[in-house]
Amino acid sequence: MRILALRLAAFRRFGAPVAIENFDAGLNVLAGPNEFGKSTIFQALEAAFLLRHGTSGAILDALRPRNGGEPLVEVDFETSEGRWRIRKQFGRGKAALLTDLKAMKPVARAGDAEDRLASLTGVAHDGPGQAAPGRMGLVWVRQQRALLPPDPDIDPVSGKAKPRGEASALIELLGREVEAAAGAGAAARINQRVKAALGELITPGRDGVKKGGNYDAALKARDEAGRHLARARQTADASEQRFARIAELTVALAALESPEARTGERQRLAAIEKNLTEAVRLRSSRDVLAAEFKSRGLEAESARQALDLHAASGARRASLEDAIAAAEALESEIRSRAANLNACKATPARLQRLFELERDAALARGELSSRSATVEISPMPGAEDRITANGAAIRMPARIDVDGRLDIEIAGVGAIGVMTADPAQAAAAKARYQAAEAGINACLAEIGVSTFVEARMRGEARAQNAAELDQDRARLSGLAPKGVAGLAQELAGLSHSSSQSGSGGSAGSAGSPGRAAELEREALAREAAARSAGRDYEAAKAAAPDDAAIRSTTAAFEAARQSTSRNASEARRIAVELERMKGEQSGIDEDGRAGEVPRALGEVERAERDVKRFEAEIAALRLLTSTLSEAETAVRNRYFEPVARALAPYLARLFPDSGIDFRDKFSLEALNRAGEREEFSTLSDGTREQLAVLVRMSFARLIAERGAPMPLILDDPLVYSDDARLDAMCRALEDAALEHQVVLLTCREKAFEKITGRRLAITSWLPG
Amino acid sequence: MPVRFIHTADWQLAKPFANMPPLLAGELAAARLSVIARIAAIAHAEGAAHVLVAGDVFDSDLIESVTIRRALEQLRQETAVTWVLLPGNHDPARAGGLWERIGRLGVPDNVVLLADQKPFALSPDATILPAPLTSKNPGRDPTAWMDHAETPPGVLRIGLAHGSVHGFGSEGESSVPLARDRAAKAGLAYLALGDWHGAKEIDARTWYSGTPEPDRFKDNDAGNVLSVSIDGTAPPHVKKIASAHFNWLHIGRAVRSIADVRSIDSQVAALSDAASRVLVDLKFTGALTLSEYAELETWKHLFEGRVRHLELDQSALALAATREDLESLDRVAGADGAQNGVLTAAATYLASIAQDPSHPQKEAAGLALRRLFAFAAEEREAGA
Repeated sequence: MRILALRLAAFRRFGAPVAIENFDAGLNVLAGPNEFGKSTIFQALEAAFLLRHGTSGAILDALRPRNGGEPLVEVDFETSEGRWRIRKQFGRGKAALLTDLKAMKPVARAGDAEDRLASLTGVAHDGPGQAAPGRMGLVWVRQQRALLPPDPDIDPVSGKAKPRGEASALIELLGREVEAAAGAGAAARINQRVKAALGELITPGRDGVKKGGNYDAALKARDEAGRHLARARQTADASEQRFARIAELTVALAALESPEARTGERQRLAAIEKNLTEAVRLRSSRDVLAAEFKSRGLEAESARQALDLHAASGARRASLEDAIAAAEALESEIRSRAANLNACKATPARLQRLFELERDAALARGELSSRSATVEISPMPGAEDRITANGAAIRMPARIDVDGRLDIEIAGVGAIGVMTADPAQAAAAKARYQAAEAGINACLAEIGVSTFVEARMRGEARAQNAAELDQDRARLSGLAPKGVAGLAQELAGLSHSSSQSGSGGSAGSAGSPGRAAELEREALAREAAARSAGRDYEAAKAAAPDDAAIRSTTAAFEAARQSTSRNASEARRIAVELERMKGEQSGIDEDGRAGEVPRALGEVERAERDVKRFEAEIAALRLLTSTLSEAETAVRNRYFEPVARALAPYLARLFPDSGIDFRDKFSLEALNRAGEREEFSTLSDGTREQLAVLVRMSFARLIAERGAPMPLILDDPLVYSDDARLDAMCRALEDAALEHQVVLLTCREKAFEKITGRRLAITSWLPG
Repeated sequence: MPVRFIHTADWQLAKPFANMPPLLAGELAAARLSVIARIAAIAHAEGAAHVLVAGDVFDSDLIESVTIRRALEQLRQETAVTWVLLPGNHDPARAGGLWERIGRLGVPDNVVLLADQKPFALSPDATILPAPLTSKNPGRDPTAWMDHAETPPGVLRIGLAHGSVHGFGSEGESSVPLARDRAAKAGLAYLALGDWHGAKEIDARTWYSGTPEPDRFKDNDAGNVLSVSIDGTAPPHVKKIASAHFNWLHIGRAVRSIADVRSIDSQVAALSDAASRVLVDLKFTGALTLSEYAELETWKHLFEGRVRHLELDQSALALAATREDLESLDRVAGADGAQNGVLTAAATYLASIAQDPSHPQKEAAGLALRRLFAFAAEEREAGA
C-alpha cells in the first residue's frame, strides 16, 4: 500500500479543511515547526485506516478541534488491487465510504466500507472502537513510540492475545519462521506450568524454599524428625548408660554382700589384729628388759664405785701422814731460818745506810781531790832525810795531796809552801769525808764485819735466807693450809669415816685388803648380772618390731577396720543408688521414652525419602524449565533472523560491523559493536533512538519483501541525533524509500534539509 | 506320649514401622500383637499346651509399659496355653530392665519368663534349657552351658536360644554366635532358635521358626510357627504352619512393554481376597517408552488401590523415548506435521541425557521427560 493523498477537516489542529495531495511513492518529508499539525496528520491517517467511523466518547472528543466541528478525514491510497479512497465522517453525521478511484464509484459504506478497508490493508476490526493496528502498527510510529517494542497484544479485558495485534502481525509476517518454531506458544505455556509447579516448591529466585510449600513441609518434617531422633537418642543413651550403671552397681553390691567377701574381710581383720597384739607384747617385753638392764647396770656401777672409794681412802691416809711429817720438818726449818735471820745485822736497811755512807765518802773524797793539788816529791839519792813535808821526812818519792797548805822543807835548801785555791771548801770536804768514813766504820761495826765487801756478802746471805724462809713458809702453807693441826684433824677424820664405809659388815679398817677383795668380788658379780641383762635386752629389742613396723601394723589394722565399715556403708549407698536408678529408669520405661529411637529413625528415613523425592522433582523441573527456555530461545533466535537480515544494510550505514540482539517481543537487548556487547539500556538516548528507528525500518522492509508493502510513517523521530548520525540516518531512509513509501514528519526542518525526497505541501481543501 | 509344643520367635512386639505411612504402621503393629491369638489357635489345633518363644518377644527393652501390659493381657487371655518367653538381643534381660519390669507389672499365671540359665521343667517328660541374653551383645555363646546342664535321667532336653548359628550363610540380626552342633553336643532333643526371621532347618534337631508375622520384604519364608512333636529318641517331627496376617511380597520384574507391567495384576489376583493384606515391594527393570510410562502411572494408581501398600522402585527402569513419542509433543501446539519444534527439541535433549548412563543428570532428565509429557497432556486437555 502507498498513500496518495490525505484530506481532513475539523480534525484536531486543523479546523479548516486542508489537504496533502503530493505524496510520492518514495520518500516524503513534511517539515514544520511545533504545533504545525504534523501529529494531527499522523492521527488523521490512523483514524482513516484504524478507527471506526462510529467511534464516540473520549476518542471522538480527542479528534475534535478546539473550536468545534465534526472530524472528517479522507485518504487516497493504492494497493495491489487498485486505487481507493476512504472517507470517514466522525461524530454527527458519521459515515464511512470506500470508493474505487479507477472506476470512480463507491464500493462500500459504513461498516462494510471499514471491513473492506481492513481486508485491503490487512488490518482487522475486532471491536466497535479502534482496530488492531497490525502491520500498520509496526511501521507507523507515533511520536516517542519508536523506543517501544511491538505491543504485547494482550487484550486488557479478556486477558487473551489479540489475534491481529502488532506482535501477532509480526509473527504472521514471519510466518515461515514461526511455523518452523511450531510449538513455541505451547512450549511457553508448558514452561509456565513447569515454573508454576516449581514455584510450589521453591521461590522464583530458585534458591530459596517456598514457604508453606510441600518441599518446605518435607524439609521441616525432616528437621523435626532429626530433632526427635536426637532427643530420642539422648534419652536412649542416658538409659543405656543407666543400665550399664545398674549392671555395674548390681555386680558391685553382690560382691560386697557375698558371704565369701564378708568372711574374708573378717579373717583379714582378725589376722591383722593378732599381728598387732603380738607386736605390742614384744614391745612391752623389750621395755621391761630395757628397765632391767638399766638397773643391773646401775648396781654394777655402784659396786665398782664402792671398790674405787675404798682404794682411794687408803692412799689419802698415807699422803696425810707424809704431809704431816714434811710440815713438821718445814716448821722446824722455818724456825731455824727465822732465828738466823733475826741474828744477822746485815739488814737491808743497814746495808742501805752503808751504801749511802759509801757514796757520801766517795763524793767527799772526790770533792777533796778536786780541791787539792798533788805534789810529787822524789828525793834524790842521798837526800832522803833532807826533805820534810809538813814536817814529815820524805825519804822516797812520794805523792802528796795538798788540801790546804803544804810546807816542804828541804833541808839545806829551803822551805816550799804549797797552797790550794780554796782551803775552806777543801776542809769541809775533808770533814764530810771523815764523817762518812766514821759512819762506815760504825756501820761495819754494827754488822760485825770489817769491810764493806763482807758487809755486802753478809747482806746477800741474809736475803738468801729470807727467800728460803718465804719458800718454806709457802710450801708449808700448800702442804697444810690449815697447819699441821689441820692435817692431823683430817687424818683423824679419815680414819673415822673409813671405819664406817664398806659392805657386808666385813671387819677391817679403811683401805684394808680384805675389804677391798670383798668389794671387788661384789663389783664383778654385779657387772656380770648387768651384761646378762644387756644380752636379754638386745635379744628382746631385736625381736620387737620397730616403730615404723608397729605404726604400719596399726595403720593396716585401722585401714582394715575402716574398710569393713566402709564396705558396709558402700553397700548401703549402692543399694540406695541402685534403687534410685531403677526408679528413674522405670519412670522412663513407663512411657517408653527411651525406646523412641527406632520410631524416630523410621520417621527420619521417611522424611528423608520425601525430601529426596522433592529434590529429585525440583532437579527434574529445573532441568525441564531450563531446557524449555533454551529451546524457546533457540526458536526465537530463528525468527529474529529475518528481521536481523532486513536490518543489516541500515545498521551498516550507522554502525558498521555491528549486530543487534533482540529480547522477546523484538525489544532491543544489546548492540554488538566491534566485538563488544553493549546493553541497550546503557546506550545514549541518541543511539537508542536511532537503533529503534532502524528496527522499524527493517520491519517495513520485511513487510515490503513479503508481499504487500506498507508505508513507513515516522512522526518526529531522531530528536536526539547529532549531525553525523542524522546524515547517516537520512541516507538509510533514502535507501528504505527505494523499497517502500516513507513519510517523515519532522519539526527539524533544517536537520532534514539535505534529505532527498518529496516535500509535502499542505493545501486548502474544499470537501466535496 | 510325645512331647508337643509350638516353637516361635521374633515377635518383636511394638515394632514402630515408622518408615511406613502412619496408618499402615498402626495396622502392622496391631497385626504383630494379634499374632498371639493366632498362635494360641494354632497351639489348640495342634494339641500343644506350650508355646516356646525363642527370644525377641519385644522389639526393644525400652518400650512403653502400656504395650507390655497389652501383650501380657493378650497372653493371659489365652488360658489354654502356657507361654515360655526367652529374652533375645532386642529385649535382653538386663539388670533393672524389661524382664524385671515385666515382673513388676505382674506375670500372668500362664506365662513363664526364662531370664536365667536354669533348667525349667516344662513337663515331667521335658526340661527346657534356656539361653537368655542379658545384653544386646554378650560376646559369647550363651548355649555353651547346656553341654553340662544336669537334667533328670530320661527327661527330654530342649534348648531354647536366640542368636546366629555359625556357618549359617545368612546371619541373623544379632551378633550372638551359637555353636552349630549345640544340639548334638548338649544331647538336646530339640534346639528352638530365634533371631533369623525366616523358618529354617539347621539340622533335624535345630530349627529357626522365623517370625510369625513378617516385618520386611524378604523372601525368607517368614510368617510361620513350627509345631514340634518329639517322641522319645526319634528325631522330632516339625511342621511349619502359616501364622501371618500381612503378606509382604517382593516382586522384581523386567518389563519391555506395558503388557509386562499388567501381568503383575494376575499374580496379585491369584491372592484373591488376601490382596488387601498384601504389601508389595515392586522393582522394575527393563525399559518403557514415554507413552507407556504415562500408562504405567495410570496402572500404578489402579494397582495401589488393590493392595494394602505399594512401594514402587522404577529407578532401574529405563526410558525408551521413540521418535514418535518425541514428535508427538509439538502436535500439542496444533502445528501438525511440524518438525523440530520447541517441545520436541527439549524432549530430544532430555531423552539423550536420560539414556546416557554416565550423565550426572540422567535421573533428573528421565523424570523431567516424564513430567514434560505429563504437562503436555495437561496442556492438550486444557486446550481441548
